Amino acid sequence: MATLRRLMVAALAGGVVLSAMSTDVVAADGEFTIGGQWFDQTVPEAKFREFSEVPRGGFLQSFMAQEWSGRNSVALWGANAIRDDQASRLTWANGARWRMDLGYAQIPHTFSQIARWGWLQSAPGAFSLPDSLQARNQGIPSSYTQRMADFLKTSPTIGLGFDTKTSTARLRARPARGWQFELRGTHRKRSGIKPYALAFGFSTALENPEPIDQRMVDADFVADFRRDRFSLQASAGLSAFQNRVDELKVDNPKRITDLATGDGPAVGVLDLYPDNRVVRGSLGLGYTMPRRTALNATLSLAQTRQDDLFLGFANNSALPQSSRDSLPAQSLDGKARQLNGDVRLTTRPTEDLDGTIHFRYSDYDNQTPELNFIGQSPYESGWQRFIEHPNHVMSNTRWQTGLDLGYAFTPQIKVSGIAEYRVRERTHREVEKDTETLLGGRLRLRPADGLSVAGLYTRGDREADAFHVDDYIGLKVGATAGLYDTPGFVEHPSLRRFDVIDRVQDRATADVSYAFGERVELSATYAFTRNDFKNDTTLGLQEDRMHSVASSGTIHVNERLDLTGGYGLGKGRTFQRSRTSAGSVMVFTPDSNWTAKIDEEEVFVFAGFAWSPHARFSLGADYQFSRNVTDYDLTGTRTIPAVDLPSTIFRNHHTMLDAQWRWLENTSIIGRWAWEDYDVNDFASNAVPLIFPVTGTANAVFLGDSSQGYRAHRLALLVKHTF
Amino acid sequence: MRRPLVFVLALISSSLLMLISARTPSSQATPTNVGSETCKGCHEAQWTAFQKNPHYRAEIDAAVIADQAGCESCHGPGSQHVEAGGDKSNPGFATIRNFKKMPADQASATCAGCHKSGGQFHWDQSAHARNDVSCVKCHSIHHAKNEGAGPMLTAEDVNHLCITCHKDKRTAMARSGHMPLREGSMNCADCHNPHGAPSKNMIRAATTNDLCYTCHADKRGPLLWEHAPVREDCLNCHQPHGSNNDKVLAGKRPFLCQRCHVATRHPATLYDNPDLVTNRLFNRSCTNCHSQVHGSNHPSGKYFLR
Repeated sequence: MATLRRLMVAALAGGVVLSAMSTDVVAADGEFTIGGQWFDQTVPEAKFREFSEVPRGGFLQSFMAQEWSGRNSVALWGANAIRDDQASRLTWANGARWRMDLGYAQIPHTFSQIARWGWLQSAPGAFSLPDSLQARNQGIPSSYTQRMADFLKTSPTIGLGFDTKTSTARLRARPARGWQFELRGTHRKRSGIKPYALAFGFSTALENPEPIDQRMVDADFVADFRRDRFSLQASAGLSAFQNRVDELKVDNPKRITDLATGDGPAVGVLDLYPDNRVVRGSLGLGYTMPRRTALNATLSLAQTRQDDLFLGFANNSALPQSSRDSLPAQSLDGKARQLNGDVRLTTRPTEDLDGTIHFRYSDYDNQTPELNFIGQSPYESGWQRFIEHPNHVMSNTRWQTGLDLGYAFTPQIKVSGIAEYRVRERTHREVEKDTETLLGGRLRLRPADGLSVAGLYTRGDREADAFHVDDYIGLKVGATAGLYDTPGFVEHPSLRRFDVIDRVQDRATADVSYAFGERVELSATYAFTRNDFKNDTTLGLQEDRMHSVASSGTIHVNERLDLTGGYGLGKGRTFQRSRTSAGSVMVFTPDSNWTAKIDEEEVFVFAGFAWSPHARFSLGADYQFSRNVTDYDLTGTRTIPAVDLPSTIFRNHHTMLDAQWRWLENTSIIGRWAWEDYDVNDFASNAVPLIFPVTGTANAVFLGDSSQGYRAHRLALLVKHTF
Repeated sequence: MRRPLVFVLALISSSLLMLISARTPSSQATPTNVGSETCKGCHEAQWTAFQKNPHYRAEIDAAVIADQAGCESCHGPGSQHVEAGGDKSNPGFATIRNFKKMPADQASATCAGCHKSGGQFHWDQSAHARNDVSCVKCHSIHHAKNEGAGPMLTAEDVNHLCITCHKDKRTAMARSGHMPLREGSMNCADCHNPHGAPSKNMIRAATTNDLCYTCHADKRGPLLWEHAPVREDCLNCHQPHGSNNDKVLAGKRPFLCQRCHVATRHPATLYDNPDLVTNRLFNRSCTNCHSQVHGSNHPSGKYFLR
């Protein structure tokens, strides 16, 4: 509210100043839409409010005001004013020489209105339970499940969600021909709570409401210069991230005193994301040559730093290595340098021929020191000692070069060829280098006026340079209890990870569009992607593919009636293979292989009309439907068959009807009705209990943020006035 | 494979350079300027609306447009068009530059006379320019449809404009897991620069990860214990245009994680229907415990539990 008032005052002040400066006020106009709304929904939880604040009562839907005076102009625009999802912008311009934009936006992200949490927050990120509860759970563990269930069902409801408040400012100056300077800044403040897990022991998952209090600041200065054929762009900037809640500190429901094994500490501590900052700069050069040819080169460099203090190995006084003193360093002193380059030559030497050659390079050089840790305590319970255990400092480099050449045989037929060669390198992975050759073609036809057909096909063949199976070897517990000193496979040697391993990718798209004069526009797109990782003996993702069709049409029936509509259908499949090793000994025969074939089908339909039967009256309607069904076809091991998981289904109908009556010359009254029906069937998120499972021995405490289906209605009456 | 490809690229490059070095043809005789007041005589509605437009205020600034040719600075000299007197059969009528009928690259070149800096610096190399999507396909000076002090679009907002051609993205935006595009809080241009960028898919950062870190700066790191696919590419696990899984994930957990983790005990266990009572499948599955999946800065965070 305060922000809106400041913006309005600024706009009015700007308008007064401009008016005083000039007697030449050419024009001013604007509009606003205000109204009242009522809505209801059948359950407390509603996904349509995930990113919106749906108003109940009076609200200001939008406003816009602008004024011109000679070379000066001021414009103020806003939507959803004073609501959680508000946005507003103030723009001032002096001809083309000066321009200033100020913006403010809030984006809510609501996860749940029905979650419950019984811990008490004594400080940001610190959650405690009554000592008596912890003591009874520790003393009588057999009744833990019932006691916690009783405790949690009376705990208060909490609203899970956060919002991001973003303020932007931009000042652009064009002081002389060929010169442009731009200074821009963004401040983001993110606050709220979201679900985040901190587990105790091997079978006690604990979901907590992680407090979020983060700031992000970005600032950039960009300078452009152009003269004749030559152009230059230089920029410098910085970004900073600050997390004001550094750790999550949560009472263990099962312990009042620390234990060196099993359920572990009385209080667990999890490190939340550390602060970081980046300094960056870039330089771009452009040169325009004859024959519509342009050469463009860009180089950018960024340096990232992160140096938050480490926590101790564990917050558990019963462990020998709880304190920070036994760490190899007090902080990471993390540094990474990012270098990027891009060179392109684009040319159209004749009307029929065009081409682009490009080279792109990107290098993430992680300069963080490698530290040797003497052990760790994954759940803060038990101590795993190592002979040598360094962190992996991961860097990666990628470059690609390519050619795209097109030739128009006639104005109606154009063919293009595409060729690219890509190289990726990385450290500390089982595949440290892979190369890919991509070839493809594009066809564009314009067989008749208003009709165009286009198709694209590419095939990318990626090959791993070498596979280092020793990257799958880690340290396992040897003859001495608690000492991890014996090398052994931590991942199965037959595993081939989809992001680095050999892969053939086929992609195809086809587009058809037809415009019959200015009355009818029809278009359709088909897209296909298939990634084939197939190998009869390997484990991991074997194949994934997606087909989709999307179409839309607009018919201007006459001056008073427009119709729109469209349909989309998508089918996807992923197929993966894995192998169960039930105990700690890895299985090397395929007898315990299993597969998962996951099929997705989605449908999207939309339709609408805008009709003005009378000069003062108009009617509009809009309907959308979307449905997604995912089936899980599982095959078990050779001896143990699998039972398929229930399909997940999301289905949403949404319709809106608007009736508008122009009551006065500049004032219209709008009646609006909207209806939404949302169904969700998801085995993982329907009916999430607070203590899980609901029968037997509990192995998790959840927040209970179930996804729910609902039906919702909205009725609104609005007034729109233009001036 | 690599050597022949490099040779072919070199051969084609030299051929193109030879074509480039040829002289450009000389321009033909052109009509002369008549002044905007003359245009107003027949196009009064456009003239009136144009006075609200930022281009009008640029027109009256001699430092920006030296000749201050008004309408003719974009539409070209109009003397022959005026002399035709509305007779479309007169060859002079069509000498005025009609942006709806011009070839895309010529239409864009007119705008690029002023708009070649800042966000438009890489326009010539952009996918849109190469695919003959001209400035007037998305922008309209005289018939803008979007409200507010926005960039004069030919649709009500950026998202509706982009999905005119990129129709599959409309379906993606309607999925249950999505960023707030369909709610209007974000738009395609927040992540992509439609005027071109020296990065893949014209994103507004050097790499995909750098783009994501703009809003999700908590993941930037570097961290003590890195999760390799996270540091290389966020798209290894996420589908930013929309997904039918929560957190815009590319697959449902635990199957997403099990594409890459085949270890002993629970990581590679098949969780089927009877396992709906295990916390490794229900609710947030693997991240019920391994919440620090983007990496951890905790000394005991190697398994992303702390």
